[in-house]
Order: sequence, then structure tokens, then C-alpha cells
Amino acid sequence: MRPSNQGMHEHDLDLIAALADGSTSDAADGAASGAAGARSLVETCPVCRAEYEAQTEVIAWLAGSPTPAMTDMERAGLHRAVRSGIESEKPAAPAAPWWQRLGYVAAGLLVVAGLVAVLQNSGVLGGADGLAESAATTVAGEAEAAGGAEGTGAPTEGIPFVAGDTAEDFDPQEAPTTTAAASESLTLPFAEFADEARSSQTQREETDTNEDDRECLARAGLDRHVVVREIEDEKTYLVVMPEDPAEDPVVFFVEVPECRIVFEDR
Amino acid sequence: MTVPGNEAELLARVVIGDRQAFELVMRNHEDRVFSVCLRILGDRERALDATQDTFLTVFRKARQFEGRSAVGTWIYRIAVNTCYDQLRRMQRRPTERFPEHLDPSDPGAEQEIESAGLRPEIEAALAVLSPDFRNAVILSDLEGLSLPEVADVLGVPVGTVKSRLFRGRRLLAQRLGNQTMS
Repeated sequence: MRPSNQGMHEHDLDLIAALADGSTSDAADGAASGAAGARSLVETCPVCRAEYEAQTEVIAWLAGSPTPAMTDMERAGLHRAVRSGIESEKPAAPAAPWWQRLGYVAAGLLVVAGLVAVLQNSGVLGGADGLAESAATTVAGEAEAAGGAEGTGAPTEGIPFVAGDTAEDFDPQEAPTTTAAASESLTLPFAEFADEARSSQTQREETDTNEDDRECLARAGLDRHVVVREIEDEKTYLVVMPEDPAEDPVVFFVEVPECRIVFEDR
Repeated sequence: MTVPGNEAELLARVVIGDRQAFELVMRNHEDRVFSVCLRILGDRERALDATQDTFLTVFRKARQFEGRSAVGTWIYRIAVNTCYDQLRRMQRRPTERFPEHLDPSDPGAEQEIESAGLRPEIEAALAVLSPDFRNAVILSDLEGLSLPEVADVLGVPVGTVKSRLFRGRRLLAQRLGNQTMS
């Protein structure tokens, strides 16, 4: 007969598991709920005893598994790779204070405005639209140039440039990635939504991820992630972040009901 | 073996750029990180990549260590998350092999597992568990971490770990045709 949970409570299961792996403690839990309680449960309840025996057998069986080890060559390779990875790390530059960054932006805007005025006066430029178009082309060109070789996860044509990134600090390894099929239709400011999602990170625990969402996230390969909000546009997108706040706050945008990742912001 | 208090000091030295301190931290934990990664990923090469990424992350994020857990627990948490990232990437790129090659129905699986230094029957049994159950069993029953340590690494309450362990072992017992279960 296979033991069922009949007559057993969740608490009993925990006790039996703890007794099997030796993690019960009378001192900490009190005799009724600690090792003594668990032992009494195992003695008086046949189903509990069967569970206990099954658990101890599995633990013993697993304990016989050898710990896999690196070979000397693998270890040496690992040390070399980590050392060289560290060498190539650039020390993070301290962020400029907000007033300084605001100053840079204001100065930039002034320069652009002056340039537009000069060009308009000299008749070279018909209107501001032309300059905006040309600026957009430049940014797209920079992004493409910075993206580098094929297959590095670099942005491709049509993918929005992450707000705040410049061609200089653009890291192809950490570039936002997207599926080719979706890239043509990416019109939403995903990077801004991603920033918003990060800034409201502390409220994430209150967000419910329902069963359908979980299933969809699993299909998209995003187990251990939660939906932090939904965006309704022509299509519906789930804004998804790691369940564990200790993980890097990578924000994924999952199109539903297709359940495919259309944008990833690191 | 370095005691936890000293490890926190070592990590503090890593923050100010002490490479020797970093190498000590790495040597203390590289075997277990590799072992955890190999059991989760089932492939030596990927496990080595994940181990490398783990320690680069440790170096990069040393200043974020707040001392709420032992340094080792913090490092294993990074390792598990790194492995999850790898699994996600593999899942998104169907051309890459997913660790379902651990499936015993794959004729090449047994040889591959043995060459990875793992026991085929154990890996095949673990492969049928969901990642949540599998990782709890790997960390607790194979790597010997305590329940609070496993909870810290997986970022879940101790009660959840107990429940995952119980259910994971029960599924393993069923899988093994354990006589007490039949």
C-alpha cells in the first residue's frame, strides 16, 4: 500500500521530514513538535512510519552520490578565466550628482537649439522635423555600430535604444535583446516601462501573479519570475521581473497570449 | 576552511580591490559552486562557465554583501541564480541542448552523465523533479547545506524548503520503486 496523506497534516509531514534528515530540535521546537513529537508520530501512525522510512532511504541513497570535482586542468582554466575577467573589469565611475547631470542636459539642449536657429536663419534647414529625423538616424547608426558582430545579442534595426545609454557605455553583452519577429512592431517605450517597474520594485511582493500568468511565464522560460504589471496597447504585454529581489532586476516584456519575450531590459 | 567572520573580512578586502583576498574566497567555495552548478546544469562545460560567471559576479557585487547570511550562502545563491539564467537562455535558444539529455530515454545520456562525474541513476531520478524540488534536494541532501542555508540560497522560507524536500524525496522514492512506498 502506498501511503497517502490521510490523517496527516502539513505539520506532520514537516516533522517526519525533519526527523528523517536529523534537523528536528527539541530545544528549539518543544518536545511536542520537535524530535520527540516526530518519533511518537512515527511509532503510532503506520502511514507516518512508511513515509519516514521512504524519506530516510532516499536520503541514504543520495548520500552515496560522489561529489563531482574539477580536474586540475579545469581548475587552472577557471582561475585563468576569472583572473582575466577581473582584469578586463572597468572600475565603475561614480555617478554624477543630479544637478550636474541636469546641467549637461540643459547645455546640450541649448547647443541643439542654437544650431537649429542658425541653420533655419541660413535657410539650410526647412524646420525642426528634419533635424529630429537626422538626429534619430545618428542615434540608430551609433547603436548599430556599437552593437558589433552578429550573434552577440546586440541590438538590431528597429529595437529601441535604452534610455540613458550612449554608444560609449553600450555593452553588447548586456544589450537589450528581443525576438526578431517582434522587433518590427516594438513601438512602446519599453525601456521607460522597465525603469518604472524597477523603481516600484519594493511593491513587488503585493503583486499577484495568477495561474495563467505563471503558465505563460513558464512557457517563456521565466520560472521564478513575477508579473509586476500589464500593459495594454494594440497587444497585451506582461511586465515581468525576477521573483527574488536579490537577482539582477532584469525586466522582461512578454506578449500574451503568445507567451513570448519581446523585449528584455538589463 | 575559513570561518565565516573571516570570510566577511575577506570580502570587505575584495571591495577595496584586494585580489589575494578574492582568490582566497574563491578557493574556499569553488568546489561546491562547481558541484552545485554541475548538478543543476548536468554538463561540465556549462557548469564551468556558470562557476566562472558566479565568481565574476561575486567580485563585481562584493560591495552589495550585507552580512545578513554567511558569505558562502550568498555565493551559492549567486551560483543558483547564474544557473537559472543559463537554463533560461538554453530554453530560449532551441538549438542549444537543454539538460533534458539527462532523460534516461536518451541513449547517449548515461555515458554523458558518467563522464560528467555524476551517478546516472541519481541524475535520472533528479531530472524528473521540478526545478524547485530538485534544487532543494541538491542543496540539502547532496551538498549538505542546512535548512536555513538552503532557504537563504533559494530565497524562500524554511517551511517552504521543508515542504519541497519532503515532496521531492517522496517523488524520488516513488521513482526508485522504494519498497516501503509500495
